[in-house]
Amino acid sequence: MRIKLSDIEITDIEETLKMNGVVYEDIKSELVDHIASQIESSLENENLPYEKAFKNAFVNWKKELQFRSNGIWVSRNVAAPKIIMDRWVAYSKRHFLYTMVLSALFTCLIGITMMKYNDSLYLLKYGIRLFCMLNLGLVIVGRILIWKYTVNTSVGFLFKRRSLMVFFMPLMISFGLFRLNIFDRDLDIRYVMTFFFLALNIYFVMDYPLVLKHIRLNKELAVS
Amino acid sequence: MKNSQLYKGSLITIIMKLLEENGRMYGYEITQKVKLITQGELNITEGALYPALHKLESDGLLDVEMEKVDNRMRKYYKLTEKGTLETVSLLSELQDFIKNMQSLVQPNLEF
Repeated sequence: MRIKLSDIEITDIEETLKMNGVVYEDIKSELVDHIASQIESSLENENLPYEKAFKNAFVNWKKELQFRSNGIWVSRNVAAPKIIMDRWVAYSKRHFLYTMVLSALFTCLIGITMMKYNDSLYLLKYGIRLFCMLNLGLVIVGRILIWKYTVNTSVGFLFKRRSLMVFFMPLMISFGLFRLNIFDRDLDIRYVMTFFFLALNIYFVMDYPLVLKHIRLNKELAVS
Repeated sequence: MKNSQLYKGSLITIIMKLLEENGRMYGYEITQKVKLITQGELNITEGALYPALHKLESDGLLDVEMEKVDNRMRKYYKLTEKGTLETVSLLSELQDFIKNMQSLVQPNLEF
């Protein structure tokens, strides 16, 4: 007969993971299942007592549960187990690359338009402000949605953290408190500034799928 | 993992091949299946498996399904359409690699 862990034993694994910093349900549920399967296999095939099997299973995860931080890609002030931090870093790297490529493309398109039509400068100035305001709205809605769907997920945390980091810049641009040097006589400065503002906004927009993923995970975890 | 450097580059292909054959699988099941097929020679560590699965999921090659099994949640991975196509290409690449390696290791030179 197959050995199955009891509810108390499953809770025991959950609590140990929580104590080791795995507080996000999306990752925790997967690790609980893996560790529980490892323990059940040890109980069944090696006839080990539960305590010994439990200890052995966590020894395998020691390296993955070590706390790490990454000042460049996440934040110097955030520490999490390696398995979570690696996921955040991989996401941030990919996100940064896409942001740079898209911003460069749009800057080229805007540059060509500006050279052809001089009036487009005004359009661009107000276009960027509008884009910033829309982004601000998206961030606020995103944070409300994350607050509403209460199951703690790693993607929800990442969105909250990243939106906090750059929240004030679009706010300042939206209300004209940050000067848009896109009218500078020097064309190089004009393009660098356009690239900068586009990158900032695209960076925000591309984070929004994190909110959708947070909602999807909340629904899946609630249904199951 | 035995001689991990040799197997490291093939981990993604191994995972995708298993998913192609078995439909959907969960993390622990993948490690055990690999162990069984290779008769214990190849042991995929947790530190290698989950980053690979999460990367494949982000790339849109894998889809996930959450299901309650007994008294806990289980996350199943399965290939997406894009993942199925990618598996064919990865397997073909791996077969070419094995063929080339065989030629290099056991050259059948004729003069």
